[in-house]
Amino acid sequence: MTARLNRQILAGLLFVSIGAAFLIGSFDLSYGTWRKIGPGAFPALIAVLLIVMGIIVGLSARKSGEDEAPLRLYSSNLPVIIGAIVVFGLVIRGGGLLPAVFCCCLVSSFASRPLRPVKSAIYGLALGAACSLAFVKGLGMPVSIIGPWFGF
Amino acid sequence: MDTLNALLLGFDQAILPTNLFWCLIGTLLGTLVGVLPGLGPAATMAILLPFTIGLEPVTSLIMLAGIYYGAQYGGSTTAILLNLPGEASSVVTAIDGYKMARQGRAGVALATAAIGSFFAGTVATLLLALFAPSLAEVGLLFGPAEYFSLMVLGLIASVVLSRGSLPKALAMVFIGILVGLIGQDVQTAVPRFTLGFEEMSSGVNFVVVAMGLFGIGELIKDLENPESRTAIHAPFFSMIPSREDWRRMVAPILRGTGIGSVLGLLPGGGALLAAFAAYAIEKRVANPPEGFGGGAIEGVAAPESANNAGAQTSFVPLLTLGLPANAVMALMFGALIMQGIAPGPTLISEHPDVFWGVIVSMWVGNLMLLVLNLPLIGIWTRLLTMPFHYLYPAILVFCSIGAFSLSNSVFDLWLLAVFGVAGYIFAKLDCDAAPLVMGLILGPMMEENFRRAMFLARGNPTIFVDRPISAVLLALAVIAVILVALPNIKNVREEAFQE
Repeated sequence: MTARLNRQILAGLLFVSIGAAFLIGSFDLSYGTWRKIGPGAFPALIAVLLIVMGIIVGLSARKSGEDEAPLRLYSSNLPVIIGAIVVFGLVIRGGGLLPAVFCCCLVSSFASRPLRPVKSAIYGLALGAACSLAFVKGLGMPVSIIGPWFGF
Repeated sequence: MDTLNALLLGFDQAILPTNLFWCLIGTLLGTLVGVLPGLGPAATMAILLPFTIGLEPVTSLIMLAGIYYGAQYGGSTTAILLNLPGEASSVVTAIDGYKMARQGRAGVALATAAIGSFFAGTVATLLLALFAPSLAEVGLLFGPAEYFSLMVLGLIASVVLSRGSLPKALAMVFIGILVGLIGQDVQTAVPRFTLGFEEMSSGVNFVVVAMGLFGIGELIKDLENPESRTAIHAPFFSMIPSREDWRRMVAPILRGTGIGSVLGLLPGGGALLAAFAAYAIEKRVANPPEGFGGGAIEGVAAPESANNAGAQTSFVPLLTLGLPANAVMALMFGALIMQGIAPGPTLISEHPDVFWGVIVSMWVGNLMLLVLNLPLIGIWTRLLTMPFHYLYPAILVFCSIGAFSLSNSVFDLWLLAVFGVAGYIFAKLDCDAAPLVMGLILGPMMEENFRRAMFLARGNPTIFVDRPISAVLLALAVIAVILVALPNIKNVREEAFQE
């Protein structure tokens, strides 16, 4: 079964579900009249078109050959990189820019092999310092370099 | 005479020290990010866009334009030195450029690319100055129905001229439009698709979407297959083309410039199409002793001139009609809106300083590339060979800081994460993200014009075909779709996009 899941079918499914989600969402909105079109009508139209495209993409899958490379959707790097962004978001307000950059760097280093934690930490500190200098001091970004968590 | 005065006004703007400074920074940063693996011009623009927002409108556009050609130039550099085209429009450059580099003529290839680009840029700038004002006058005749049809044509053309499957690209456009509609409805102030998040009522910022799709998505994918990047360590200092080289590059540069300037004007055109077409024509016309693919200087000069000319003239539909021709122009469009300037036919009369300043600074930016980047090639190549595990944390950090700084909101970082995952999945499923960004930018305007047109027509949808300009535009869009769907043309199109 999984062998049959090729890119076309998955893409088609994805399109249909995104279209369906927006279509359902548009039910809460007024469609208005032909003359005074409401906020829901245009999104609903586009969502229907998206669903149609999704079906076309999915159906065209059978015709295309099986010469594609096997599809591996999951990558261990995905959670690491996304995690690094989330950590940055969690730290930036309370911790400030320098710690946020440092943590973001450190987390993201788990995606590289071989793993060198000490080197990554030093790199993160240097990058954090450089960013603080350029963005906060240089461009006047309204964020503290070291935030309230550290008693500033 | 008017044009001359206007150009002088532009010069006044372009040579202001602050503008010169940011133009320089833009070209340098653009080249820097452009040579980094996996990041093409669209990703480069998306990552660097937030840092231009604090500047004056003219200055920020000048910097963005600088980033754009810088990124283009960076793409050519990697194409020649590494056989890794940093962006699609340098794919053809890599064929002969890399061969030249292998033969120890990397310096000459890079110099040819730079000279061709500069010449093409100069010509395209002049064309832009001459023709943009009259096109803008045509644009002034457009009502909501015409605008709606124009956007339909623009979207369809950009999809038809892109690679990959047409239904997929159309689906991506529709997703883009839907994402673009998230937020408060302009007419009724009703929140749409916000899932109850207060932060989404002003819509999803396009920079975050573009950054997630192009930047983060690509980054995760690049981490999976770490390619070994070994730049050619040829003697770079033999950069000066010989008399023979000069003689051989003149005609290809002229042809490339001509082809690029015309193709750049088309909706959906731009640098990519220009480069492919120029290479194909050069193959028919020129007869280099090495043969094409064997390190012919013509194979570098023509596409590089063409892609730069195309890149430049693709500003024309953006600045005169408010129609972005490709994803990069769509980002420019978004940047203009963020600066409070509506791109469109009234731009020239309402903000002449912006319009002419940007046009002249394009030329200045090209000059800077020529003068500064050639000596800096050594630094760029060192960057090229820098291990990816040093680069990607920095890219990630820049994206995060950029997304956060857009409105000092942590919520934008969560959105960045979401669109990063989306970008990765789309890349895995062979769905090009560029049409999505086009839809994202054009979607809200399409809806707005659609509703206005319907209101003016008292609810009669035939207004879109009753008005002649609108009917022609829609007919062109339909013809484009039919042509691509026909089996014969489909094959030609697929062949054309194969290297």
